[in-house]
Amino acid sequence: MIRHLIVLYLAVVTLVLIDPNPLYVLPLLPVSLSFILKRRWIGLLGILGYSTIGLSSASEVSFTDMVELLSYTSAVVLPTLVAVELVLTPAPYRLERLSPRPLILTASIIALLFLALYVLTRLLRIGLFLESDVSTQIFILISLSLFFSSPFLLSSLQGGSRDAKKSPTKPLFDKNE
Amino acid sequence: MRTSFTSISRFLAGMAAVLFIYSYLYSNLLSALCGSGLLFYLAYRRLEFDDLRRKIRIGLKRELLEKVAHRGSRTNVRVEVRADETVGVKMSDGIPKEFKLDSGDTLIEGTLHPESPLSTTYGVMPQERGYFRFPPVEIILREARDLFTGPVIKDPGTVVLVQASKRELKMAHLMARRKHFEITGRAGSDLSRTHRSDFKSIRDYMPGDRFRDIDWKAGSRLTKLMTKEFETETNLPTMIMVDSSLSMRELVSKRTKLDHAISLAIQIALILDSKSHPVGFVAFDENKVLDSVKPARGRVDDVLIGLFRLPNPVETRRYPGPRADETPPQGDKTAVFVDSLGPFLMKGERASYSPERISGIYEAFRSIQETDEGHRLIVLITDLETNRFAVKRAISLSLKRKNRVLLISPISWTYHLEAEDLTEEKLERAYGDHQNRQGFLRDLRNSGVRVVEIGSGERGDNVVRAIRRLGT
Repeated sequence: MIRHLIVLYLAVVTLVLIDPNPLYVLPLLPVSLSFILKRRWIGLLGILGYSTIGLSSASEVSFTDMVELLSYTSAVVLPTLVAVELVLTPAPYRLERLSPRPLILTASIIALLFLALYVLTRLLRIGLFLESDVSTQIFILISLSLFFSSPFLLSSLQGGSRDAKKSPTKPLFDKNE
Repeated sequence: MRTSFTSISRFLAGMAAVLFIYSYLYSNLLSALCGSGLLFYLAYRRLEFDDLRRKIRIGLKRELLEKVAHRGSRTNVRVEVRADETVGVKMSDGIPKEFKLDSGDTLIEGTLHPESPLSTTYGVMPQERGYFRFPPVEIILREARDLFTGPVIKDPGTVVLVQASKRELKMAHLMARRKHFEITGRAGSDLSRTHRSDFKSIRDYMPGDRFRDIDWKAGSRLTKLMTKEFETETNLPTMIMVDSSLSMRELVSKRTKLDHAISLAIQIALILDSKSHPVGFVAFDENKVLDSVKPARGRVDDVLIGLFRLPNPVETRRYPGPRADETPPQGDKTAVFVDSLGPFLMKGERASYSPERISGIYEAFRSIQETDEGHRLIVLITDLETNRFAVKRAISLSLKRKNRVLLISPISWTYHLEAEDLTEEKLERAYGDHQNRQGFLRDLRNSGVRVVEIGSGERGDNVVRAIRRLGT
């Protein structure tokens, strides 16, 4: 149920906040369908369509207006990522136990990214380095995103499993079995 | 131990790329933020998966449901995977190449929970006899959202001893029941037991004859004491010697000469045991004694287990045939002396690189003679290919100790020649070898060795017939 509510929320926010034209929320239909048909590909294609077509009207958002950017981010971008998670998670959806270490690490790199962006927009205001061109801002955002995320995505796992590191407290297979 | 991307994660990465390009072309910052969000989502998932891989403990258990595995008979294998964390797994159990999957599925796929392990049961058909080790298994761990996979290698170290086929064992037991096997004559050793069986004749009584041997009916008729005479049967300690050298283990058409030798040895052992003959066994290769069991009554099971444990067959590219240049050891006196003495000095502690100096057969005869004063029956099964002159020398030493020797020799060409593979050159070579071999065997026969030649299809009847009445 929560899946369909998220899609409905995205549709309403898009209609109210971005554009009242119902055509922009049509890509959300495959997302809802994917929950019923249990086809992840349909859902991901729907989200891709929504991220391009549905958000195309919000082209005036830029880093120069941070308040507007944060409101759009929290109202549209974050729920879209939640929808991605919902599409990928097998039904029924359960909030699994979150590992604290990866969560803290990811939150830290996102914070670093925003800090970097903040510094850059400061530079932009005083006109030392950047023009107030959205394309340039996007270019910087993409570069920083790739810079921060690729080391984690492309690294190979270091070290062995726990078996190798320390002796198990309880054997998985009882010898007397 | 690399973590790999699945098709879904690749699609997500591609989706992020599309969003970046779109946002750049249409100056839409929200699409770029969505793309960045997707990348960080992937990074988070990857970090969580790597964390799980570091923490998780995976256990793999493989067991054979049958206690004994036989060649050509189905053996069921059960594989179970356990973990102390919830994770998706996919694995396909590997089986040795000498085994054939007969039933069931080796694949295990699903989500593994700490309280509910995953398992599968499948049947395999061993194609060869010997020891076999199951290969290590690669377990693929799947991330909870199916975005990444990572392998874990586990090796439960399952070793299986595949014994001779049930059919061969059944045949051996049948023959043991059917065939009458006896050795007549007086025993030459104190260890041997002599007993009397069938009535032979009547003669005049002589002082010292046993009271119970007097034929009272004949005595009353002839008015003098008559004594009954009986056939004397001997329980002769028998040693079965099996040559396990490379030429015997060579695998051709799914069978080796050693397999055939084992089959015959089982039959002989069971027949001898059924008639209460003490049976022992010794196996040797080029350099050393592999296994031995001293002759004793009721130890036939030990002999059978020893036979089952003989080395695995080996696969060669094609049969090279016996060494064409094999000649009796000759040359200067020093070389002859070293060739004769070398095997006894080595005592199987060193590998021999010279065929003339192999020591396995000498070691085998030595192990027999250590606890024996002679007067035994020695059944030697060898293809006479490793060093037939060493065999001859060892046999002559054994004959000097009053042992009776029965040589069972598989004819190699009957195992290796195939009708569609016949060439003139091969036939000539086979004929030449046959001539050499016959000359060699003639010498052995003349020296008092009973020789039985067997082909690949020999089932044991002729062998048993040939050794049925070994008179002294």
